[in-house]
Amino acid sequence: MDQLTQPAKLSEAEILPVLKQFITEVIGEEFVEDLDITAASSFTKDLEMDSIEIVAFSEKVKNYFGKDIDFTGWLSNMDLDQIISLNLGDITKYIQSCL
Amino acid sequence: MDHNIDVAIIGMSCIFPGAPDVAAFWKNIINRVDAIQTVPENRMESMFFDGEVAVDRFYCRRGGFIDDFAEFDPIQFGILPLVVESTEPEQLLALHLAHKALNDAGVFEKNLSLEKTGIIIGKGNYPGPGAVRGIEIIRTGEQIVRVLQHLLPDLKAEELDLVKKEFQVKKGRFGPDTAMGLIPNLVASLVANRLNLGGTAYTIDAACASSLIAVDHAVQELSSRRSDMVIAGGVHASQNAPFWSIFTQLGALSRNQQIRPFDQRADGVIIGEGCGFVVLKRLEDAIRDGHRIYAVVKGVGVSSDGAGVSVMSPSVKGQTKAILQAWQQAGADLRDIGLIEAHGTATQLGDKTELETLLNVFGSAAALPKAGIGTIKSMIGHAMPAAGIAGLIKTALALHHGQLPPTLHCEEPLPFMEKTRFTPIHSATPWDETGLPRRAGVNAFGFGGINAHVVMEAVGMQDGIAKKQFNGIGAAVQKDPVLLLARPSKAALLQALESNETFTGEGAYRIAVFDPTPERIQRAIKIVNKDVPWRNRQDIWFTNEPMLLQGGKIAFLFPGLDGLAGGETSSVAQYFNLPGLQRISAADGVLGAAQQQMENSSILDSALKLLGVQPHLNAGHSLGEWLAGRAAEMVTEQSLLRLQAQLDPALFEQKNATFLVAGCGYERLKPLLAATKDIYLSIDNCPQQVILCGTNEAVEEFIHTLKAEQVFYQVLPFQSGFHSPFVKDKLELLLDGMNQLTFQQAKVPVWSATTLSTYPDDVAAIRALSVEHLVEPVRFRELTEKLYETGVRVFVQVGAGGLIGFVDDTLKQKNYSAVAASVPTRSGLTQLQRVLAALFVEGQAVDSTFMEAPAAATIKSKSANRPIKLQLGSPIVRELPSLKKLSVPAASRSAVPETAASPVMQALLNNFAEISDIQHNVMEMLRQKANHRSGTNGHVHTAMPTALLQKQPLLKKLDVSLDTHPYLIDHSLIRQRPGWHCADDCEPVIPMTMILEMFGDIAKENAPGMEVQKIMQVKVFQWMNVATPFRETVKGEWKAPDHIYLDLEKYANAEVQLSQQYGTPEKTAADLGAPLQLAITPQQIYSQRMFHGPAYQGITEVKVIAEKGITGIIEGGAGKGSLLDNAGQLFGLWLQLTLPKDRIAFPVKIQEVEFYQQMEDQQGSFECTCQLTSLNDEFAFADFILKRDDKVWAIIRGWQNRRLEIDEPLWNALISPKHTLAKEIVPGVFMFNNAYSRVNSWDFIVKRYFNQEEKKHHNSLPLHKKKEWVISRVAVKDAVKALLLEAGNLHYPVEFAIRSNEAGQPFTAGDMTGNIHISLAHKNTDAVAIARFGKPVGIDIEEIREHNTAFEGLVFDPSELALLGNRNHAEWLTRYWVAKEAYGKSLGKGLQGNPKAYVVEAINGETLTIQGVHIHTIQYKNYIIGWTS
Repeated sequence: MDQLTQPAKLSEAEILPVLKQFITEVIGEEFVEDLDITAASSFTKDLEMDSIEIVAFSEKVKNYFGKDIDFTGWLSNMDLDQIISLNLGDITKYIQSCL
Repeated sequence: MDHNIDVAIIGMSCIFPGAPDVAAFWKNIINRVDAIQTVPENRMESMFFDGEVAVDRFYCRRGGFIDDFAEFDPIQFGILPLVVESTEPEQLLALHLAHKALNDAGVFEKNLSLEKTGIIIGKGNYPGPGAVRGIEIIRTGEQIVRVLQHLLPDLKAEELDLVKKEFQVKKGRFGPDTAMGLIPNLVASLVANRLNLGGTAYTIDAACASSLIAVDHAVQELSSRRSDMVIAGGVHASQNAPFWSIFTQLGALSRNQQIRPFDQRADGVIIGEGCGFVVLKRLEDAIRDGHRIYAVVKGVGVSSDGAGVSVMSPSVKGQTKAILQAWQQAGADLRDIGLIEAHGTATQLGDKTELETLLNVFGSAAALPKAGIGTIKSMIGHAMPAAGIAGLIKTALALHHGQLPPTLHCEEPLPFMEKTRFTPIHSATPWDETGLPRRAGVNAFGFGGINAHVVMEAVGMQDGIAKKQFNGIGAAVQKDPVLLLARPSKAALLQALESNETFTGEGAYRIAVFDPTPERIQRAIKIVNKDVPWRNRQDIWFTNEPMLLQGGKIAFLFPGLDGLAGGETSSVAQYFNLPGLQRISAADGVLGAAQQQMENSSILDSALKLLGVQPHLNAGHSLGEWLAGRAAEMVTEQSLLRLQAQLDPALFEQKNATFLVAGCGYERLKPLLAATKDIYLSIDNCPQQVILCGTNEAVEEFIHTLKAEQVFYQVLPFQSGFHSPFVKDKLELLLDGMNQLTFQQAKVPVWSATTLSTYPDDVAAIRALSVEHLVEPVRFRELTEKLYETGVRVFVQVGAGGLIGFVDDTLKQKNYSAVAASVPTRSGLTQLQRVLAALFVEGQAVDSTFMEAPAAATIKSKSANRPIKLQLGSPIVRELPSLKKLSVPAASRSAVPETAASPVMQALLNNFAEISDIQHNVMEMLRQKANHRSGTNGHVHTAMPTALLQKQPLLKKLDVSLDTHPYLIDHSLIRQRPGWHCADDCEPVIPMTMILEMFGDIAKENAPGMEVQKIMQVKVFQWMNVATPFRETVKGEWKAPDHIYLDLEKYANAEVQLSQQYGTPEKTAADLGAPLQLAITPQQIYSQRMFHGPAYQGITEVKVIAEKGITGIIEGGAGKGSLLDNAGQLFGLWLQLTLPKDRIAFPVKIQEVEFYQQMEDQQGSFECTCQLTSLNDEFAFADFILKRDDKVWAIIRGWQNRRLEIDEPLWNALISPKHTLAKEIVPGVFMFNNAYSRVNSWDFIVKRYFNQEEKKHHNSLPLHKKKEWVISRVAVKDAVKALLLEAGNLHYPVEFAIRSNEAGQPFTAGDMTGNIHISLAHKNTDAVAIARFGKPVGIDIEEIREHNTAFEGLVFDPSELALLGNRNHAEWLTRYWVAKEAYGKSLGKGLQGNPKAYVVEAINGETLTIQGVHIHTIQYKNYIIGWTS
């Protein structure tokens, strides 16, 4: 499937720090300190987040980026395995594609 | 010799290539693992293998190495970590493994005295890395300074001293504390010292026989009763360049780089290394002391060859003597042999002699069964002094396990083998099935004619000895290293971490750190410093207020069916020897999952209890409540199994009831639910997750509500109505089932998530509650809160699932610990370690033996130290900054000649190869200084080599382009249509041979009266493309009046030797081996095999294609260098025709071209013979002889081709546009994928397929997009090409372009493609494309996979779903999707985010119809591909 690439208003570099902040809020500041959070960080393996924390995280994303981003809908259409293997980069891309 | 005492092998240890320990060693043997590898760079740098064989250049680059496993824990042995790096690694390996062997023998466990224990080690007196380092520090440092001083007399003493000091420092530490580490005998004495052995301790050197002779000495020690126990073995870790030089010069190393003991193709040895020990004790003592006995040593024989043929030749007489002696001592019948562990070095003479000896000793009695023969050398190489012990350990394991062990690479045994009683064993064979006695002989024969043989038997061949169970071998279950520390205060804990303490200790400050590397210890220190509890993150647990010590309770939580992937429990069952559950056959669906869950939880529950973890109470989640009841023994297991057996799963499945997970709290859902019918709360997991149960319709409807509310949701993959009113109609059935259950008094309280209290005591009430439980919602969130209130602080999830997440969410901010006993990402056993770690931190006493990984279990004072990796190599010093700071700055060394003729330079060159880099610096300075001086005062120091200065350096400008050298278009890498306007598309390049001849010309121009005799060390580094004029300068530097070094900077360099007369060829013919049944004509060559155009097409006949080379007739053409280029083509042709893969190869180096007639005289026909001299995965080497009129015109030595990863399809596509690189999977549909791994191959593809505009676009793409772009464009270009070809027109891929319009739709641009429509699609790294005349077309590819119902509802129209019938959903919904996409693309729009806009109206076979358009679909691998008709 060929995809069209549209110009993004927010760059990945701008989105990532926001997402990092949300992760910090979800899993607690004290635990984040030593984590190297990058676009390649996966939720379960690298950030040790479980599905509940991922949902809490998605709640924050939704509240921040607005209702136009059907973030939860996007997640809902995935299998649990897919959600578990998501990384921050995937989410950044999704957000970019909606903006 | 008298019959000797029997000696038992009671302990063993080893490290050999591919095997860190005895267990791995045996596993490798049984699994036929060839542990030979390319020489690691840290042992011998690649330069040692770069070029023709010389004192310091070796042809064999493979061997056995143990670098991966050579580790040493200094703290354990009370050695300063600092000293480790400067101590001879053999000493530390020996200490580590001697300790390990004693531990394996149970010596520490049994607390046995070591007062009469000795150690005897076979060890070669080759300098190890420590000794080499010492020599370099002491001698080479001085040598460098002397050379520098001689060359540059102005240098100040301080400067020189600085260079020397820096070199010494770079080589490593050498001082009073490290000196001891280099004393050779300490290999043995250090062991005696550190392990407090009171017996003898020495090393012996009997070459390859060393370690068996160590065993002989050990047997004597035990016989004489001077020792009661002896550690015997061998060590060899001294493989370095000087050592390899010896074996290279002896010609002992395999030229094919493959050790094939006793095979007809054997051509020499591969060197290995390692260390191994056996602990020996008199058999009677071993039995008395209750040792496990691996095998019994019955006899040992030792002899020398005496005055044989030569000191290096083996002798049948000497070997026979040793073997007979051993068998006599063993008192065994020579007919009763089951196995020979042979010496088997894979040299023709050695193998033949050994077989003759075996024939001589054991005869050829045809009536007896053939005994096995093999050698460990076939797997790990020849470990020299440690070779004997490797064979002995292998044999002891074989006897112990009753398996005849396989030997490798002996597919075609020497014919002589037939005559003997032995036959090679190709795969592990149960010994007893062969009828052969479990008795074996081990050979080890050393250089100079020292022979040893050991006779061994399995235990049990002697009377009255029971075999004991193995410890280290068999079900090796891996555990993870962990550090557990408890200290009374923060300061004490920090102190313990900082000083690498490993003693667990006591106190309220407690930490558990998995994988305690220094970095992770640092992290742990940070965590402790914060002084706030840290639980279950990053595999570290810490607390300063252990909750269990403060009265906190432990709850076991049993998961039900929360739909998560299960973790593994079989490692746990195996470790604790727990039985699995009786399974009810073929149950799937809900109850099938329930049974699996029950088995897992049962295993984990038992294991935890065996580990001393007892819960204060049990609770469960959904059906997990039954498991909680079972674990508390409230319900008997038997009755629960009975219940499951009787409940028909089909009865339980609710066809119209679906679970829906919502990602929010129940409070928020309540008002929404009130407005919806037929959907109910089923499980309240935690504040952010609730599970609802409803009819399918209600769930569908409620999903819309959740969507609108933007609440995350998931539909669970099973249909059931538990914990909802839907099961009410099954109540009778359930009550019946409950009557099957036998209840009894629970051992621990079981909590109910229905009532939020403990289960009642009386049976009727329990039954009633069990039923209620199934109908009422599970209030897990409230239960969690309740348990916390009642004092539970540690929650252990017994099984896989998400309960820990629910607890975390519910108890956020509270002080508690939650951990799962099973997770999908770890083995069950290692996850149990996490549970114990969590409990340890909270104050629970944990089973320390379980927590320790097996490797660490041997150490008395528990050690979680990270062992230090031993450096077995002594790397070459590359950079000496102080050199650059010297009075004359050193410049780039790219132009420095590699050899030099003057005596001073020669002295330098003869120095250690190690200082070659320094030498470059020196040379450069020398040149600079010379220039500098002649520039300022015209005076040259008298010490300067005069030859260097007689001729001035020269510069020659090159200007090569298609204007100046039009014939170079015939040396283009990419064939285009003849006369193609764009030279860039053709990639015309200067042939290596043309540059070589140009170098010859330049040299000759500057040396009147001389002819080019040799062109040497020719190297090319990159393509010299002439599409745009190639304008570069050749720099020439005279090394002698008749010898010049020419340098074309980053492209090529070479040396030319001029002379007034030619030499005499050393050969006029070459042996090419047996001819192959292959023939090829020049026409075939240039249409199928070679890219050359007319000016470079000079092969006129191929005469012989043979095993080792090719002979043909070649002629020089119009192009410069074409004659020699054709010689190269001939060799390239041979590689193409005979190699199994990577057949395309381009020249990169030529060691030497020697002319015997004038280089420029290339008229007439030449007979060219190319003889392969060496071949490996990367390179092919050959020598060429070129003759004219039967006189040798030139010999090329060391022509070196680099093999490229270009396969047949790619080469064909490069040669002719007729061929497609993409595969035509059905007529007209082309597929291409990520077929190549090397950049080179993709480079060729891009050159072949894309025109300049497209290449520019390609270059602008980000890296990760490039491959995808190339793959899909190749597929579509091939589709277009094929379509054109079908219409009778052959076109090259660069003649048209693929572009995209603003909507992203691709189209073709080219004169001939006006009427062609295309479509392409990709998925993952696969792309498909289609092209068609006259009408729009669409194609799509998708992977087949399951989608949830929500997806179905979103994407497909109900009429489409109805159309499906009973077709497989995953497959056909993918077909639908693909059809829609393809249809959308054919309209030029795509799906535009609305898949429902195009409705599949009909299905006919695999053809789907949308709005009257037929879309053909096929399944290809796991894809559906569809295209419009």
